[in-house]
Amino acid sequence: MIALQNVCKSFQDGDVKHAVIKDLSLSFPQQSSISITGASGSGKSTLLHLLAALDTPDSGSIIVDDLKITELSTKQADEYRKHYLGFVFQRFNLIDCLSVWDNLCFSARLTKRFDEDYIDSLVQRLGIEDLKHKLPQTLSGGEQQRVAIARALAHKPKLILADEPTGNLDDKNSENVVQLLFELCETLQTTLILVTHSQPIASSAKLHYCLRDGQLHPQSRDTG
Amino acid sequence: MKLDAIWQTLTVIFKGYKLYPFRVFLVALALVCACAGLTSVYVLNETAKTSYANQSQPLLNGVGRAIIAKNGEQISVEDYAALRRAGANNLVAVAQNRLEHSSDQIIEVLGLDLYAMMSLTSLLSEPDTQQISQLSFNNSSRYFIHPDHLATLTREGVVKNNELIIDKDGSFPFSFSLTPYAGTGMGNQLIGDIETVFDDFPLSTISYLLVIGEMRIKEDALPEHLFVRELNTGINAEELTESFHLNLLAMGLLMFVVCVFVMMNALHLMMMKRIINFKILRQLGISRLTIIYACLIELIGIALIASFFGTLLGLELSSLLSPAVNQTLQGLYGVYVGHSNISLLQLFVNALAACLIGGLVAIILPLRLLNQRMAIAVTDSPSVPSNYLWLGGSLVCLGLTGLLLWLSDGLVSAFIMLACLLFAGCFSLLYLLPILINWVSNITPVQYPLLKWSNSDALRISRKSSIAFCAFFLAVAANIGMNLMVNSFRVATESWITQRLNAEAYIYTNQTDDVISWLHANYPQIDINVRQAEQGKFHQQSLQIRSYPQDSADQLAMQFDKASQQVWQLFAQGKGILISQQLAFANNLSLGQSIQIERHSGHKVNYIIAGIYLDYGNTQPQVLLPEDAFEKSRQGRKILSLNKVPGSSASISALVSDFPTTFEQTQIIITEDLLKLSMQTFDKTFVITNGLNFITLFVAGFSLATSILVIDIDNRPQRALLRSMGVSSLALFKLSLVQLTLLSMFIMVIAAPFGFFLSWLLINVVNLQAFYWIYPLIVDPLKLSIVFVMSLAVLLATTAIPAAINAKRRPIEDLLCLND
Repeated sequence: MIALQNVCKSFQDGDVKHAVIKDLSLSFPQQSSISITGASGSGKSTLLHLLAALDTPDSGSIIVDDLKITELSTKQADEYRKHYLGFVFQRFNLIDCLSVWDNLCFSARLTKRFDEDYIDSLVQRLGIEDLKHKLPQTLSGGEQQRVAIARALAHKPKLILADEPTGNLDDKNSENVVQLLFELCETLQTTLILVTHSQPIASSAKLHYCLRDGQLHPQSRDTG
Repeated sequence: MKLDAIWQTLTVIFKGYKLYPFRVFLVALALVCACAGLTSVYVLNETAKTSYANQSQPLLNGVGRAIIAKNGEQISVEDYAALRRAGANNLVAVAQNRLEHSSDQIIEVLGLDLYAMMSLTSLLSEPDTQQISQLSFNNSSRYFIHPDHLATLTREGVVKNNELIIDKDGSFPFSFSLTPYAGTGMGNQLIGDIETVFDDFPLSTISYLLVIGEMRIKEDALPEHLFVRELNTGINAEELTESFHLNLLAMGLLMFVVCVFVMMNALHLMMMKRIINFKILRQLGISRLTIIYACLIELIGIALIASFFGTLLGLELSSLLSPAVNQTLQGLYGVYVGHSNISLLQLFVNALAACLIGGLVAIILPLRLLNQRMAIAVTDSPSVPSNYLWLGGSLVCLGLTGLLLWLSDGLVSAFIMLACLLFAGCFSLLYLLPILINWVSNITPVQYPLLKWSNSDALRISRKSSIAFCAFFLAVAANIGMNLMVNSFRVATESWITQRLNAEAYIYTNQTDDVISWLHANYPQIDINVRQAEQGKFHQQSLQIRSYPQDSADQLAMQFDKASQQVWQLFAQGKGILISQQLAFANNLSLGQSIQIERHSGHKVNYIIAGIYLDYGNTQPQVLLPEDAFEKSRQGRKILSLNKVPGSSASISALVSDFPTTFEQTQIIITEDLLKLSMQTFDKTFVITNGLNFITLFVAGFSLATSILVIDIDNRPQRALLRSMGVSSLALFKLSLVQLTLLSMFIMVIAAPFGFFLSWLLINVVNLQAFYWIYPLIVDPLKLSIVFVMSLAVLLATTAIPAAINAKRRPIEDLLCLND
């Protein structure tokens, strides 16, 4: 269970204080896929950062699997991210000096959860077997994002946070990549929280919310 | 080309400064450091040279002789009066005194008989007459001082309101009223009337009598205790200090070259940051040439500002260093450093010229890259030079070094050869560094993903900051080269002195017979050996001729560079002589060759060269002859070597304590003390160059550290990614240090052989060309370790603080750049 209790977050812009999340209380079920849409600057990425313990709310608390992440020390927050989370970014953010295979194994080795067969199965599932020995900059955008998804899942995290994972991809690639992400998270029973501008992609998630006026509003999967 | 287009481009450039202030600062800092280094070396050299020139130049032109007293004697006022009465009324009495105004600063106070001088103006040149008139007519003021010297002393706070206040004998403070006067030959001196000097220094006596014009009295008619001496003695000091200045200049130039590399690196980083804006300008219709012109105008602006601050910093640095330089020169050569005649404008113009030359050299590569990048599509990546290109460059430069080594016949070609070697080193670094990093990356166990990332990332850093790596490499190689050369010279000198000084004590005296009589009477169990000395000529060059004993201990003590098999037989028979390495190298002499030497008596004698011996530190050529070849009755300064007769109970230390002080100008020195003194003098000679060496290393280390940090700023997404994966900031900080250590270790490993080769060339080519002596290269692991540890410490120290600040940044700040 991921629970947000009275979470507030605001940013100072000169003399003006902008509240992006206002007294938000909500629970997400585990092993589910959740999509969040909203206008630019509505606070979608901020919410992801709060869930990743990269940022702290002004008030309120966030609990992930009985772990109150808003009260973690810096070191505990590092450990939480290392073991519990997988990230997928808009710009892929693969480590450019490491090969695809080394990128995939990086988190797994870091967390001592390296399982070659499992990573191989991910590679096959994502269709990137031929890319294992290549360097990230030689891959296309779609290929890089598939590698990024594999890397996010390689250390078997309980929660995947995806921040606009299709923002740099064309429509065809977007559809393929997101379908793979949803399928894999479901197969591996990993919770996925995905921030996107795309209504069709958001509709593919089991739960769809829209962040507006600092609050998450449930959306129907059909209407978005 | 429209001026407004250049102006628009410049506006974009200047407004961009706030986006990358650090890179602009680095360019300016490199230029300021380069200027400051050159300016301080120039000021120190010029100040010292002015001081030698003043010390060697007589106060009056055409006055080259003086009457002085023999050892232990004095020129009395009565002697002076008697000589004038006897017809020598062209003599002027001079009283010399010294004032110590701090622990290491000495001012010479010269008292002249100005009234006598005034009566002799008809014998003087026009400028000298004017000078004497000025000094005499303004005599109400007590002492005259050169304005530049006055400015120096005022700046040092020794003089206030033209008053020099000194506690000259520890009893009460004494005030000297000073009047500035720019007289020729006025160096580090205060000049006043002799009466004033006698009043102020009651113990003062007449030091010598200047002979204005021709001698009006025969030398034979002089009283027994007086004799005539030539005054011009300063040239030797200039020659002696040549090695000191050559070292200083070499280090100054090296510092400049390293700074040019530092600047090149900073300009490269700056251009990379600007490339996007320049591309936009190109899209808006501004030509590439306009952008390049704007960059050059900007460089000229930076050079103007940097040369101004560099000159000021250089002046400050030289005044900070001057006490150490003064101490060295005073201790080594007895030269009292005063002031220089360098104008601030001249210094600024020199610095600006150096800045512009350095800046233009430094901007060529970044501009070339900029030109390429502006000409190609945005998506194209810049062409990376092939690794084999660096290998080729290295081999070509090494080939040139070899060619110059073969052809080199002067200092200029020797310096070009050193430059070729250093460039070969830079190319080798660019070739080898990626190979080494790749190798380490490949052997890093996969179980350590962070270490593997760190090692792989090091390759990226090495590619992006290759120029900064070259600058650091140059500094490390030069440090190794200089350190090994100095250490080899030190070891060679120490071993040479230890072996050559085989007696237990030495006496330097002009009263040989008296000293020997005293020794025979009081210490009969001491064995005395007299070393004869005279000045001769070889090919019209001045030559030291010395005697050398032939007993077995002295034969063992002699260190030969080359010697014939029967060297001592030939020497004993008077058929063969020994010549110093300096004489051999300077005149291309070899064993078995016959040379003609003009003895002090004027006789020309032919000798066969039987041996060439080591004679470090002596800039004068020298030959050794057997004692029989000298006239025993000849007077002059001689050296007595003292040894206990084997089995005797005589004590050298007792002799030293009993030795009478009545022997004037006689010095007794225990060998151990002489050795200690020699090595102290040696260390003093290189203290400044060691300091400059360290500054160069620090500047290069700072440049490399900043370059890596700037690249790290560009690498924020990668680090942010690691933070998002739960890698702690401490782990990232540690990785930065590991990465730096690895890179600097590689640089040092590659720099070491080039440092050895550099050292070998400095010893066998530069030393040979400059001083005509060579010595074996000694690779001391301890010295090498010190350079390694120092280089690593400089790099880590300059990087640790900013890296720690970077690592402390909240992860969210880094994360925000991930989707930028």
